[in-house]
Amino acid sequence: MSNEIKRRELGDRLQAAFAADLQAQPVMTRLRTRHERFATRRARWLLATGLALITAPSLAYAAGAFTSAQSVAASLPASDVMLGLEQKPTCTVVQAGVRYSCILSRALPADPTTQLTPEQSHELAEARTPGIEKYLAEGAAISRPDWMREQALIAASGHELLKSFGFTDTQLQAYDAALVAGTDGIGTGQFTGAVVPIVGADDRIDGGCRATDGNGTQWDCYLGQAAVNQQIVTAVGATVPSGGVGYGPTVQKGPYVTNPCSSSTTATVCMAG
Amino acid sequence: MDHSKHSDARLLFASAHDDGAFRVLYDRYVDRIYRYHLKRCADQDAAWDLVAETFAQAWIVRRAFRDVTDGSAAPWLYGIARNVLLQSVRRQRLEDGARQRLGLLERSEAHEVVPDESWLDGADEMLDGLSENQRRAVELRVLDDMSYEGIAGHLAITPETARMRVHRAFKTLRDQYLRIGGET
Repeated sequence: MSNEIKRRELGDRLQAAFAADLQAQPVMTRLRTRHERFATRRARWLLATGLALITAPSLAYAAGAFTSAQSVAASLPASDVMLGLEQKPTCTVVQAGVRYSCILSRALPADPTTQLTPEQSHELAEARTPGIEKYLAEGAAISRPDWMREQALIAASGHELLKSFGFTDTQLQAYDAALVAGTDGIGTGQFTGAVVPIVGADDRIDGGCRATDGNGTQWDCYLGQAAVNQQIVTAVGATVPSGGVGYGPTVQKGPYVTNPCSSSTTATVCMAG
Repeated sequence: MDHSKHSDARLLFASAHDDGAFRVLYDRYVDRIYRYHLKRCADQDAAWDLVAETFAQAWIVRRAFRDVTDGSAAPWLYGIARNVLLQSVRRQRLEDGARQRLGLLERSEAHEVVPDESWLDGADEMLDGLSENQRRAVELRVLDDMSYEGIAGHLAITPETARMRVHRAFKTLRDQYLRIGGET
């Protein structure tokens, strides 16, 4: 069989398997990376912190989602506190059931690597690609003796590289905090315009918030169709994709894009697109 | 949707819910990944198996891709290809975990090939490119899990020098890896 035929046949088989994989994976069994877990937790945190204090009228809008907000808040891990994510937000009703204004008690962790030179950023990017986490998250075993041949471990040397750039321990901690909070790539004072979905306890998007200041302390939040009209999310009711690209307050000028295929009640995984 | 003009990063982004986007990425890189594996295993059938495993792993971990090289997925894909090769040599059988997970593997297709250390000659060459000082420093750091202070004491240098030595070795290996991968 010629290579061209093998190439095409393999491509067809792979694509068929990928299509089946897209249809088959239920949300609850999908593997989550450490970053994704934190991203999900972070979105829930915003839901909890931002909405738990919203007054009673809002509960009428989507009782199923919001009655569980406090329990979500209670489930937040201590690590979030250790990372400085503990928040004491206050939300005021602008329009009951539609719009809320929330203020967080402290700034979100900013990513200090945004201050690197383009050359340094490129070097850091190389060091993190491909990250060892992606292999570990998938359960692949990497034994220490094999290190010398493992590009993955080289990628894990981000800290060493940053230290060589003169990063202090404080900056390294800030870098870690931004990574786990899903705010990596957002520098100090750059949060204005960042969006984050409001996610109910059933993992469905009920609305969204947009940061209105550079530190990420002030958020303009909308529920339901209003969030779509404000171009914060593209749809409500969709199942959130357990984290992933575009999830969390990444700086994105456009709305948080939800996949229409997840608007149904099925548990099909649909990533933000 | 016509993905043909999209960057690798955009293809991977779209492939979160579009297998067609990933197919374009496959078509874009399959020949290079095939040559990469064939050069090392010198067996066409085995090389195709390794290619299949490489793209299957890439699919599974595609959401972890970060666009950090101006839209190119080449370093990321070569990293996965390299990992597949290493796993195969370590286990002395062609790695097939991702294909099994995706239901792609047919036992009748299994090859009676046993990967051996010679498949990793390229990797050894890369290490040989390090200076003796750098090589010793990274051995102590990673294989012996030694702190920089420990390395410094062992090699009679300062911790800062140890750190820089390890970092430069990492950088050298990375550059060599990308160069070898890119030319393959």
